[in-house]
Amino acid sequence: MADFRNRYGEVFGAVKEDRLSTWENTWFVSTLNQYDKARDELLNSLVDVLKSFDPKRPQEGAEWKSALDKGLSQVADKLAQFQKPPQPDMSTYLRLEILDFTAAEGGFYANLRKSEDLGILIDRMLAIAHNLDEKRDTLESVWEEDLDDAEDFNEKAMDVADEIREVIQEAIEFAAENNKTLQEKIAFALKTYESKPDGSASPTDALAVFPAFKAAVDAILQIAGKAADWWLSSAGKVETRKAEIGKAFAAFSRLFVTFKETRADTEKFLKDWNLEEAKKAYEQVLRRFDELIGSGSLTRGQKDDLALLKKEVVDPIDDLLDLVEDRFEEFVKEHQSKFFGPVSPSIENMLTHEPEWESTIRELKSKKLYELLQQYQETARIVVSVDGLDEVHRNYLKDTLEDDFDKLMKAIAPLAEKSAKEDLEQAVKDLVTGLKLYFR
Amino acid sequence: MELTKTTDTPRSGLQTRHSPETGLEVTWIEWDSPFRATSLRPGDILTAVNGRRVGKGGVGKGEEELDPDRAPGGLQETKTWTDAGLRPGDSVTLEAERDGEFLVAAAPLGAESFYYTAEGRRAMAPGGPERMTNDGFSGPWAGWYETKVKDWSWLLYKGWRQTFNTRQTLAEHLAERERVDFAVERFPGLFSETLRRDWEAVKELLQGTLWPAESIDLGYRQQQERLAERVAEAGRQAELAFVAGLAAAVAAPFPAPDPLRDRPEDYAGRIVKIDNVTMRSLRSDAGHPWFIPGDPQSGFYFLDGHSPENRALFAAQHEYAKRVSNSFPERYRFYCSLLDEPRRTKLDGRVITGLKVRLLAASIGDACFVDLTRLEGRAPFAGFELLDQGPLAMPADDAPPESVLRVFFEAAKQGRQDLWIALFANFRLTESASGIRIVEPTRGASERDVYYQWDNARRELFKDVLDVKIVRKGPEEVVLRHRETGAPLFRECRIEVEHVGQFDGEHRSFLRHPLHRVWVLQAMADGPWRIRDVNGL
Repeated sequence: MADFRNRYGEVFGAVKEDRLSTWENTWFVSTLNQYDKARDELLNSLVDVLKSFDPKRPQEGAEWKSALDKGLSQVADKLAQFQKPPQPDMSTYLRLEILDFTAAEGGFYANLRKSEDLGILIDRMLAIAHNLDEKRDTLESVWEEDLDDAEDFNEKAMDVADEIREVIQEAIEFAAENNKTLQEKIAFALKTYESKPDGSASPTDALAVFPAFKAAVDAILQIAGKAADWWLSSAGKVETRKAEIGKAFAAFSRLFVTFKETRADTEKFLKDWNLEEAKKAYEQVLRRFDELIGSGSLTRGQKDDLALLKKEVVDPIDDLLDLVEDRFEEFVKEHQSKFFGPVSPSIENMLTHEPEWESTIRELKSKKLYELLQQYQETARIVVSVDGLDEVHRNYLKDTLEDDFDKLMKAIAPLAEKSAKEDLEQAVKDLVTGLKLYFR
Repeated sequence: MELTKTTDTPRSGLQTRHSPETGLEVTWIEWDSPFRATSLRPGDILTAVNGRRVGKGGVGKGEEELDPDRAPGGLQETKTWTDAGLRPGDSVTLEAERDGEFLVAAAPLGAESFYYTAEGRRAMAPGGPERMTNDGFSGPWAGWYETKVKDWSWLLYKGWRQTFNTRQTLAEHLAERERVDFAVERFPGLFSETLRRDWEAVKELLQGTLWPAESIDLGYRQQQERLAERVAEAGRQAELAFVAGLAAAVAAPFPAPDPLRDRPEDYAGRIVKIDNVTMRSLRSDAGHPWFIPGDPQSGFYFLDGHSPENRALFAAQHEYAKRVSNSFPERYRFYCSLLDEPRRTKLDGRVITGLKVRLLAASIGDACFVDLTRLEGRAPFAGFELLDQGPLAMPADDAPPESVLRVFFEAAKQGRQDLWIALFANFRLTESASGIRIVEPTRGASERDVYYQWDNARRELFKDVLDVKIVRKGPEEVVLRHRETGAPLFRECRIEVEHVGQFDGEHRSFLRHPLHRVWVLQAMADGPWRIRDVNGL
């Protein structure tokens, strides 16, 4: 405990003992001692308030004020004792000394009362520590929830992507199978054609004449027709999946909007509750003390007592600043590059699952469905360009096969290739680009 | 059987209490004291006995003065009489002071007496009642009477200078009537007559001053009630107009949109009415206040407590409480537009997500309505123009203390908090009876204290207190002068007021916590008079 007795010594020295009667001397010294004790307790209670700070209870402003009020009430009671001398014959000298002394002490307390804002400043520092702690914890939970949601949305989108992949895979297998059958049928048709009798006939006749050739061409057309049906059905499936994936990605992007709002919120929070603010409050506290000590209306003894009070409270306030610093560092360590500052790639990836999507896209791209479809077209061309096919038959086949295949290709290609793969790729690209916009 | 045994010991039959501050105060006059027949009564300050001054004791005691211990009611009173050769029946003259006026009471000295019943048992008075019987009432007569004397003495000599609940005490006092009537009927005589008179005197004291109905100024109450009604009506109209003027229909707030799963285009532009929002939904989120109405099943909304709209709302509420009435339910009806700004935080240990909303308008407890769509240059709430600032102004710097106090009470009645606060002093000087002055560290009027007291004052004025009357003004005394020039540094004046309420159809003064009867006003040098302590009413 500090010994705030500078003022006591001053008063003791100022009141001349030889001008007091015996009872006055005894009574005055005893009353002054009692008063001094209350005054000392008041100043020490202020120091104690600071030494017992608890960041979970940032009410130091109120506690400082309450200690001040309580202490002031006690010193007022002790001061009132100067009005109750045991004997009625108090000298004018002592009466005037008491009035002077109490008036000066009144000034001292009026000054000390101005320190109420010290409590508020200290409370501000505690509140910064407390809020950093609370916000760190809140953001930790929010981040977990964000990750859970990202995982959930990603899973849903990835399920749809898997379905698309399956449809494409089935298409590839179907196309490969068809191609094989087609090749066989074409080979058979060509063989039949090569063994045709001489002489010219109309294409219809030729087909009539060469039933085997006709059967082969019919088979080709049938395969192509079946393929078209199958593709249209698959394309429908892909379209449905596209809508689903769009929905999953929309939820994804809403999560990123939420994430962006959390970041904006955090930046705003850090504007109000940061280390610099705490340092400012700290400096204000010290400056405030200097102002109090420097007040011209105080006596030397009172100034010395206030200087001692400052010395006593500096250590606990330093500790408080250290505490805020620790809290701030913890906050930064935990949430920088996530909820404030540029978002780090790893955080981006945790939310977007971008690498996972890149791999999915790569895999989809590796499915050479389009090439398989092109083989259909090639097959048609092979049939049409068979050597020795007369012009009439060639034109007939061209009309029948090549055009049909062309139409087929035109119908299938966008669905199989662009919609499923490129659209998916585009959606992922949009997602990531959008996300990066939210993060910057 | 002799009913009275009288000794030779002379006595005045007065009970007194001495304090250095007030002097020797008469606290009771016994029923058989000859001074009952004089104008002396409890509360009077005895200043002289047979011409000899009664000292205050302590400071200023002179040799020629009568020590309070030897004065009437003192432990050595008898000695004073016997030393002077006085016997029972010899006349003595007492001088006393009452409210600054002097009075003289002369009466013969009484004698120490003992009373008996016809059966020879000790009695309160000749013939009864018997001291140790209770006659069917609770407690024997001796104990009951002793308690009554103690209670009634305290009431009669202290009067209303100390705060106590006068109406409650009156109810307790009226309950004693049966026993008093019994004594009068069964034991007629001086004791019972005095008992009845004392009971009546206490009753009259506790009933308080009767004020004619026409002297009670209830204008402020009617004015406030009318004003509150008109403001509420203006609010209802403004709310209807507000809703009618909205571009979209007002939607039910719950279930609240899920910001992650619902499409913004489905709720964009939606305006919701969130009713019955209480202060319980105002939560601090790491130092930032948010109204968060909703629940985990129906979803949540976030309303920024620091938004300009919300600040304007609270400012309006504060203004309403100050100027119109501070009794309204703290329950809000919010009109909000949904923002496409999802917010996620932790509330009561769980993470919640909801949409931020912008406050467009609000009804505060159906008492007033605030349109927040335009913040600049608008009135705090609908019907604000109905409020009249009134002619009440700060008293002039040279206004006497009673005028200052009158303006203070009027300011409370009219909801002029600014004026009310400005009339408190920011200094304090106290002085003991022995003349020793000290400058106290003033506790000052902290904002919290002031608002607490303001609320008290307004609550009382619109509840039990109908009016406050200034009934007594003490002298304007200079209590501190400049040490060298003698110029006045502090002046002080005590003013007594009475709070008037309505009881059984009558307007009567009454007192109870936290009402203040005695107000101390101080003026520094030749500055204006101000109220020393922060009290409400």
